[in-house]
Amino acid sequence: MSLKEQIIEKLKTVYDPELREDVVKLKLVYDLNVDEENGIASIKFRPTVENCPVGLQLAIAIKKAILSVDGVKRANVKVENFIWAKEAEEFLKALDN
Amino acid sequence: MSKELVIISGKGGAGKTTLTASLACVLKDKVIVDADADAANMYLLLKPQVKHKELFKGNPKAYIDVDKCIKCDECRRLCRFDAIHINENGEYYVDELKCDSCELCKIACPVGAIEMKDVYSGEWYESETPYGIMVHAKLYPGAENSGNLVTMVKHRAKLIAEEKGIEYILVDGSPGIGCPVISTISGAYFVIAVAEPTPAGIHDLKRVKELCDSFKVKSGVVINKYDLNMQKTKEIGDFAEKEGMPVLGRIPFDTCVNRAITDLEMPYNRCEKVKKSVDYIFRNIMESL
Repeated sequence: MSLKEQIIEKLKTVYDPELREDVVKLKLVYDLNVDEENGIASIKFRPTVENCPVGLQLAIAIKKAILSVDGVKRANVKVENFIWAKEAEEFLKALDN
Repeated sequence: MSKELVIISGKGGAGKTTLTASLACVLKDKVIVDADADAANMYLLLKPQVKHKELFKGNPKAYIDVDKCIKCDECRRLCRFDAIHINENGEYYVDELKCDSCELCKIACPVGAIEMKDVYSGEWYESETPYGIMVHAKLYPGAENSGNLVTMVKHRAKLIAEEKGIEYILVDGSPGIGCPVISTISGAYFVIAVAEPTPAGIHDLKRVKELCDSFKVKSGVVINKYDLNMQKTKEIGDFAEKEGMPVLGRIPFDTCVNRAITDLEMPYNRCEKVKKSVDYIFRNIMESL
């Protein structure tokens, strides 16, 4: 299984707590690009609504899920359509070691 | 990004669904959403052909494994919703309707005899209608959390609109200002508040306006059955003007509407006065965006 496929499978374990469906099925994550050789993944995330109360937690859970895949060295998560997108991206930087 | 036009009213029976269905006749490029999951009834007028159906998971409910249970009574003692009881065989069980999914009993159980079980609280559908694609839902009797189901149907509509490049999402909301309404106006581009010229109508319009302001969503008002009470209609107009809320239009009382609905027909297609008013309202909505 390619790194990309592994990442998608792992993202299916991240659930929107309100809708109780995973972020892949809900299409909350999209534009996944993976540099298989260097283990760098980049993806976009948007919550169901721009003022989603759990948007930040979801962004963190998505990044952690990607980083937990063997072979992934870096995960760039771009947050869109979220009123706290900038703040969320600041938080996500803290997960880069 | 598609624009959500949301129709709500502070109370039920003000004409919200009839107006939404009528606007569905006029606004062409749109996905229709019936977000009134507790009492979905717009299907009666739009006659959707269901193309896709999915069950909707509500909050999980606690479930006691009687084989593991040692009857220490801890769960029943702690439960604040009176959801845990003992049956005639002396076994502990959970009343699903009362269970609030807080998981306290599961945490407190010393022998791990309690699990949380997924429960389906409704269904949602993607359908085709003579007036365009419709996403709608049905909450099961006694089920709660319609706010989440509203979020789901709106999200599905947004995905369809993006996929097909449709500009508008026309949303029929729930009455009142509770959770389902908050889910309905979250992310709305413009709210159309339907008010009737009665003391309750005015009172509830004020609540709806306050809700829209707190969500920083632009709103306008449609006065329905305006000619039943001209003095109250004037009061609504004065309130709207004071609040900078455009009066998008007024619909006269017309028994033709009642007859059309009774015959499950679209009032917009059968009642000339309604058609003229809705056409006027539609133009004003488009200008307000």
